[in-house]
Amino acid sequence: MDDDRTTALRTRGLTKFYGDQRGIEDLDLQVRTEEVYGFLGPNGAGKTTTIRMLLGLIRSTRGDASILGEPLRFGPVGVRADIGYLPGDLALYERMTGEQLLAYVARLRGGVPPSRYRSLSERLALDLSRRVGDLSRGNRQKVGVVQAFMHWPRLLVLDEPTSGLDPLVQKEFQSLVREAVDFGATVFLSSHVLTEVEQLADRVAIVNDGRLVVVDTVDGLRERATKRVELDFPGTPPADLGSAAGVRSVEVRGVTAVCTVAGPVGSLLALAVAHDVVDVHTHDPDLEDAFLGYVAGASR
Amino acid sequence: MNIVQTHEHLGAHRAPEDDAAQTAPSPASPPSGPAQVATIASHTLRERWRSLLVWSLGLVGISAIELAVYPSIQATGQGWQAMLEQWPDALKEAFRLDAYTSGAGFLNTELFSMMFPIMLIAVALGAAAAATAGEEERGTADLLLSLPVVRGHVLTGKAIAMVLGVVVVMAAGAVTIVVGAPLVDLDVGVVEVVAASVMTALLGLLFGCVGLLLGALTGKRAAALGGGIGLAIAAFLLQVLAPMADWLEPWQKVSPFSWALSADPLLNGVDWGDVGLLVAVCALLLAAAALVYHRRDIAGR
Ligand SMILES: Nc1ncnc2c1ncn2[C@@H]1O[C@H](COP(=O)(O)OP(=O)(O)O)[C@@H](O)[C@H]1O
Ligand SMILES: [Mg+2]
Repeated sequence: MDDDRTTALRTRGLTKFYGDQRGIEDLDLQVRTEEVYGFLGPNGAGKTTTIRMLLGLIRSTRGDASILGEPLRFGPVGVRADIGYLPGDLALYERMTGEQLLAYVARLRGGVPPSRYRSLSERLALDLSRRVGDLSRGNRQKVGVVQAFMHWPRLLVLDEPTSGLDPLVQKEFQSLVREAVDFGATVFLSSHVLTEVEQLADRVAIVNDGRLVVVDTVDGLRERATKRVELDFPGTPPADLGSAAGVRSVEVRGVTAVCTVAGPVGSLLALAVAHDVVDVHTHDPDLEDAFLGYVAGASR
Repeated sequence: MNIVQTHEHLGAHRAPEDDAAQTAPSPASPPSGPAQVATIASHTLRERWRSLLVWSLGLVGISAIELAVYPSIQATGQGWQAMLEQWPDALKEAFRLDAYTSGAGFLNTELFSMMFPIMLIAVALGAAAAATAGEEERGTADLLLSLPVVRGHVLTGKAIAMVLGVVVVMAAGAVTIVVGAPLVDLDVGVVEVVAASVMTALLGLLFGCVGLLLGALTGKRAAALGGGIGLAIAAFLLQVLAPMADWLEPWQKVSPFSWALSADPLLNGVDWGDVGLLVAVCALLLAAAALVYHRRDIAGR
C-alpha cells in the first residue's frame, strides 16, 4: 500500500550512474513507518550512493523517491528538517570541540536545547570538551550519532552507523534506535555486516553490485539460511545423501558426512536413519553465511 | 503511552511536556534563512580568524615600513623626480609614478598599485577556496548540506564571511596609514585613503567571487585558487602592459585592475561608476555560483 502514513520512505527505479560506473540501478524499496530497515551489501554495493541521493546530496540519474510523504527533490530544504543523517564517511570540523560542533548544528537546525545533545553525549560516554580533531575514530563517530539523533527526527538515515564503535557503545546505540522508534521514528540503516543490524532490523534489503538482491525479514533470512548437519555413520556414509530434499552439498570426512541444508532437515534425517546413522550434530544457521550466499548468488 | 502511540501515525509526534526524558517534542521548524546565513558566516569567520589576523598584521607591517622610509624619499625628492623623469611614460603610468614624491603619490605607487591589491586578492581567494570547495574536500559538506539549509544560503554565508575578512584586513592597512601618515609628515586625506581601500577591497573581492564560482562549479580548492590566481595575473599584466603596446591599449579597460585603480582613488577619491561596475560583476559571479552549486553533485569522500 502506498499510503503516506504507513510508508516513510519509498523508491521507484531509483538509479545513479557516475558516468559509466553504476552506483545503484533500479532500486525499489518501501520502508514502513516506525520500522527499522537494514540496507545491506558489501563495500561498493551502492548503499552510500542511495543514501546520498535520498539526502539530496547527489542527483539521481533516473527514478524517483518519496520521503515522509514528500517527493524527493534535489537541493531545496524539503524534509531535511525531519531527517537525522549520519554520513558513511563522517568528516567533522576538526578544530571545534564536540560541544561547539553540536551547538553549530543545533543552531542551523533550530529547536535543539543544549541539554539534549549533552545528555545524548553522556549516554555514549562522549567528552564534549575535547577538540574533534583530537578524538579517536570511535569518539568522532559518537559525535556523528549524537547530531543525527538530537533533533528527534522522524526519519533516521544512518550509513554504517556502528563502524568504529566498540561493543559497549554499540549496545547504547541500539537502545537509542529502539527509543527513537518507540517515539514514532523510522530508521534506515546500512551495513556491510549483517550481524550489526540483525538485532535491530525488522526487515533487510540486500544489495550487491548496484542491484537489489532480496528484501526479507531477518527471521525469513534465518529460515532460508543453510544449516550445517553432521551425520556419523557406522562405516562409509551412503552416497545418496545429496538426493534428500533441501541438501545443497555433502562433504565426506571419514565416517562423517557434513551436509549443508536449506529449509527442513526431515528428509535428510529419514534417509540417514535408513542408513543406520549413529550420531547427528546440527549447527545454528549462520546469518552471515546467508548474507554472503545471497551476495555470491547475485554476482554469479 | 504505548497504546496512544500505536494509534498515531508517524507525523503526529507527541507535544513537548516537562518530562523531557519521556517525550520527543515535535521537530521545530528550521530557523529563517537569514539567521542560518548569519550562523554560517560567523562559523566560517571563527574557522579563519588566525589567517585573517596574520594577513592584517602583514598589512600593518608593510604600511608601517613604507611610512618609515617616506621621510628619506622625500629628502632626496628632487633626485628621485629627476630620475623618474627618465623612465618611459608607459612604466610611469603602470606604477603610478607621476606623483611619486607627493605623499599620496608615494603611497599610491608603493602600496595601492600592486602590493595591497595582490594581498587582498590572496585573502579573498583563500576564503573562496576554503568555502564550498574546502567543505567538500574535507568531507564536511555532507553533514552541512544534510541540514535544513538551502545551498544558496550556505554560499551566501561563505561570501559574507569572505567580505568581512577582506574588509577587516584592508581596514588594518588603512588605519595604519591614516594614523601613521601625520607622524612622518605625509600628506594624504582620510577620505582618499578610504576610497582607495574600498576600491582595493572590491578588487580583491571580485577575484574572490571568481574563486567562489570555480569552487562551486568543481568542488576543488585547487581549481578555485588556481583559476582565481591565473585570472588575477592576466588582469594585472593587462593593466601594466597595456600602456606599453598600442594594440593592447584598448584592452586595458577589460581588466578589473583598471576598474579599481585607473582612476587613482588615492589622489582623486571614489569613482562611483567604477564601484558600481565592480559590485555588479561580483553580484553576477555570486549569482552564477549559487546557480551551479544548486545543480551539482556534492563530492563524497
Ligand atoms: N563519486 C563517484 N564517482 C565514481 N564512482 C563512484 C563514486 N561514488 C561511488 N562510486 C562507485 O559506485 C559504486 C557504489 O559505491 P557506494 O555507493 O559508495 O557503495 P557502498 O556504500 O555500498 O560501499 C562503487 O562501485 C563505487 O566505486
Ligand atoms: Mg558506503
